[in-house]
Amino acid sequence: MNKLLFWLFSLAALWLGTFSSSGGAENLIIYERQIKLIEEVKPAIVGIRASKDSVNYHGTGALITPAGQILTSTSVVPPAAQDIKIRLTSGQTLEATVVLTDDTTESVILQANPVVDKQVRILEFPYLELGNSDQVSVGQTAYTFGDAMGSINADNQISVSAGLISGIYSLTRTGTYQLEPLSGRYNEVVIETTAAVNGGIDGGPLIAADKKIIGLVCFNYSRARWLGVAIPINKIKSRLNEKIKLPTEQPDQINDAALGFSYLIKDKAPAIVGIKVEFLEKPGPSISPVNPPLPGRRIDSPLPSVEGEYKEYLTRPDGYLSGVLISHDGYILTSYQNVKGKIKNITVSFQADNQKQNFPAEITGWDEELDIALLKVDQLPQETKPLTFPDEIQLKTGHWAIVIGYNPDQLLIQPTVTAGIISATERLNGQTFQLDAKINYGNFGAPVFNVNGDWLGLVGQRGDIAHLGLNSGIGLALTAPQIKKILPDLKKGQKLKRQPTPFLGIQADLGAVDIEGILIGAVIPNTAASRAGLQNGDVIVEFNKVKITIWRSLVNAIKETKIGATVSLKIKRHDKIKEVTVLIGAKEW
Amino acid sequence: MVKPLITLIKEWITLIIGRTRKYFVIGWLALILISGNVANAAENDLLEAKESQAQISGVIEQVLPAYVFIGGGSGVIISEDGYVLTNYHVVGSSKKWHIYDVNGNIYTARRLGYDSYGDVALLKIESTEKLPYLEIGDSDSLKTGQPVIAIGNPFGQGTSDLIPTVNFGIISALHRFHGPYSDAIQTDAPINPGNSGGPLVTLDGKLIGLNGSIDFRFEFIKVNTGIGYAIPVNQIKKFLPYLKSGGQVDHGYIEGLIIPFPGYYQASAGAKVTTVKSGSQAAGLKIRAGDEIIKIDEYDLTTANRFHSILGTYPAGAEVQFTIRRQDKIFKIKTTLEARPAPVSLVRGGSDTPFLGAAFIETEKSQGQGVEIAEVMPGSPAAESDLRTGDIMTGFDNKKIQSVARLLDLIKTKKPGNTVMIKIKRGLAEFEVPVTLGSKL
Repeated sequence: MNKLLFWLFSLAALWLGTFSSSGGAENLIIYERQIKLIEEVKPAIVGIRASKDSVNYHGTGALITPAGQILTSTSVVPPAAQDIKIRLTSGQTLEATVVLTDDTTESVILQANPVVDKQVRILEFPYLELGNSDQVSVGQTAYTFGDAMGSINADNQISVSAGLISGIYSLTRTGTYQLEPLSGRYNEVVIETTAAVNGGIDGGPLIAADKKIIGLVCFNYSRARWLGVAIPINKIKSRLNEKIKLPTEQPDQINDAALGFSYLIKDKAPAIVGIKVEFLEKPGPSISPVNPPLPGRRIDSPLPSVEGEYKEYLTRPDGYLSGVLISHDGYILTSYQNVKGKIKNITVSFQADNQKQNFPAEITGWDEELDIALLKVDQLPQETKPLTFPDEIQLKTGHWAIVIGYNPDQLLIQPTVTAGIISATERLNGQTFQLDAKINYGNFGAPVFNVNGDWLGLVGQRGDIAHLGLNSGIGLALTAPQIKKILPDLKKGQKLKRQPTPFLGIQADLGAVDIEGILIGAVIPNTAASRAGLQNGDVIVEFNKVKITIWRSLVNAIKETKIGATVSLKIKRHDKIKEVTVLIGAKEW
Repeated sequence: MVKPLITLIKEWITLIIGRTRKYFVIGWLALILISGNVANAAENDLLEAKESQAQISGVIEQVLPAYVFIGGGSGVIISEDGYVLTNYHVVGSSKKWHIYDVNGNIYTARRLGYDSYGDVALLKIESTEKLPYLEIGDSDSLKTGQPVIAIGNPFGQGTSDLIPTVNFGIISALHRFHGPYSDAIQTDAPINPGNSGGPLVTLDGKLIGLNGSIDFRFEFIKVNTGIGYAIPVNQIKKFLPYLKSGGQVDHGYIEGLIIPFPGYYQASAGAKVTTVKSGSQAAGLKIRAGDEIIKIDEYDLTTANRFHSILGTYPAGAEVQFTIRRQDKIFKIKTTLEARPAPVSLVRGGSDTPFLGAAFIETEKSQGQGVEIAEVMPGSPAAESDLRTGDIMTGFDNKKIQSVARLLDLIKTKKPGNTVMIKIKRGLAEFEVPVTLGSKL
């Protein structure tokens, strides 16, 4: 009997030991590994300060040799910079000198002076290895580390952000914003990431899940994508000389420290198409800004006119944007904003069998409100893999949502991938859902998938972009079942059946009991409210002689009004009562 | 090493079961061992994605009932008898609120105490039922890289349907000195305007921060670019007893103790006292110039920045222990913190008094440089020019300002409608901003 029990117990122990690969309820093993990776990388990250012509520079660097050589960029240590200071995680400050500057790759190698305060000598520095940027794939996890907004130089804190390698493309081929160069501006192939890139992170490393440096973060960005990018480390490796003593590479570690979605690409990429439009008349900035550009200009900022950049932010870029093939007979979906305007022709680009093939397309139908357009090509490549409509979809707040878009660089095949969680399962009367994956011009019109590869919906530019912003973490996707419902109308080119309802156009800030009436939090542009001159901060106290105290009463009052009727509102503005005449507009659902 | 092990196992199994069944068991064991490790990278990624999303969505379901919509922002219920935390700027001076939860319940809540500088307010729901709430965690045990979720109502997306927005990210950094959030948690969870007052939660369902404020990459648009700040709960825990009593709760400090806030380019070697004002509280505690503060309560510190950052998490009236090094001696003192002087608001006079819409204060951070902005009134000329709490105003109308008194004098020389250039220091950046002065209507 004892022997049997011993046998059963041993087998059970063996079985459990084999199968329990994840941690306890609180920290899954992938997060424990992430925390550990970050702890191990941090000691090799440094904050850097330098000055040149009385302008102060700050940013990040990474130690790459045990002797204290540091990789950073020319935006942190420009040519002829003086007084270069390195700040370690320990809080110690070291001096440094430039060993090598390479304008073509914007890279700088510094040598830290290992003597601290003329007393302590650092014998060996922690360092990071340089990886192989030719072998990265889109969809893998990547991290940025550094002096975001001065976190190292001011607070001794290294800022870390987790994201994906979201795209690989050449900046010249996707349209680069031309910044006034501090020194040369690298415009070739970059590795894009959804990990946070902000002022101070430049010069820092882009780190893969095996703790190796795969890129040097710089300040440039694509006008289609507006996300942070890094110069591939292999480009920099080829510019290093004998002065840089890189340690011998350790054998490749298993790259499984973090979440990755590369596995979805092979199956879904064939359905993703690029859409290029030649305009007869290109529309200008498509949305009237809710928030005008902030006044003022930073004294030490290398950026040109803020207004110019802002206008560009609001304008649809040229080049190939995203769409998706949904049938073998050539129907393609995309964002309506991608094809809005007076069009000369549309070209759709397919990727099949590692080559690009382009075909002309026509718009069949569209809906501006839902931001969707249906195109048709008459010719298709031999092998295509259109998406199939699901009968229904399961949405759960907190589940992953992965957006696979078209690479805006025509010469590179790998699609773009951004991912986030489902932030809300219902918006706009259940027609859309909200996700926090990074959404920008490059992937408006691209499909969203769940972790199993099921098609959930199509992202679009719904809402006021000047309000919601690019890559803000607020994205909306039209659900696949909703698209299926309206597809027949889109195919016929018919305007979607809508039920117009009377609409004022305000967002209320609800709740303060001592405010009698409805406090306007935001006035939606191009609505009855904006045309009547209602403003944020106004309190609506009367609607056509009816006293308004709660939201419901205003909603009901509007409902009872006819579209196009004139109503008289009493509002409180800066403690004074004003009468405003409003022509009630319409909202179509 | 493997061969002898297999032999050993064979022997052991033979011993227990008997010859004939040995091979069956070995085969079964081998199968178990192999299958546990055979998952390739892609399957592994899918498995990990499924596991993580199950955990994330599970926590969200658990904590959503404690989330509330307040005005244009958010709040969170922290006790079953209805205490609610939010940002001060969400509730401002309104004392009574109707707040909504995700199930459509409307609660009436009174504003109790508030910390207008640190941007925290406490409300109390009048309810006879036990309410769902979030347990308060320990923000000092957070680790960089730890996953977190933020719940809020950015850009008012959820107001009409009472469906909030949930965002996911990691802890990016801790102990960030971000203006009045002196010991802030930094996260890359994409929070935006409307997330204010909402909870930052770890995956065990505990509240660890109150969102928040953001820095952003592009100057022309106030949307998240991966840097969000939250007030850590360990600071709020210190303030809670005072917030429950109601009224304004001041931040604490030691009166008469000067430890200069260093510039961002100076390596600060310790929190060294430069001046002790005679007859002050600091003098009474026998602190001397040259002393170095090395600990506040259990928090070690090695820089002057960190001294001010930690001190900023205490309310006036709190009893605090300071560990001080004087030459080779180390000793401790305990004291009750005094109230920091209140920010000076620009007096709003008649229609010919120029109106900026901000409150100013002289702090250690601003000393020698200018004055710190303690509050910005929404909709004011200061707000229109994106001046922010924590900014140091170093120049007004091309003139240097060293004190609040000087600034007030300079403002009085202007008229409503005048546009003046204001010089601001924000973190490591220095820039000029035109501001058009308004007037009190």
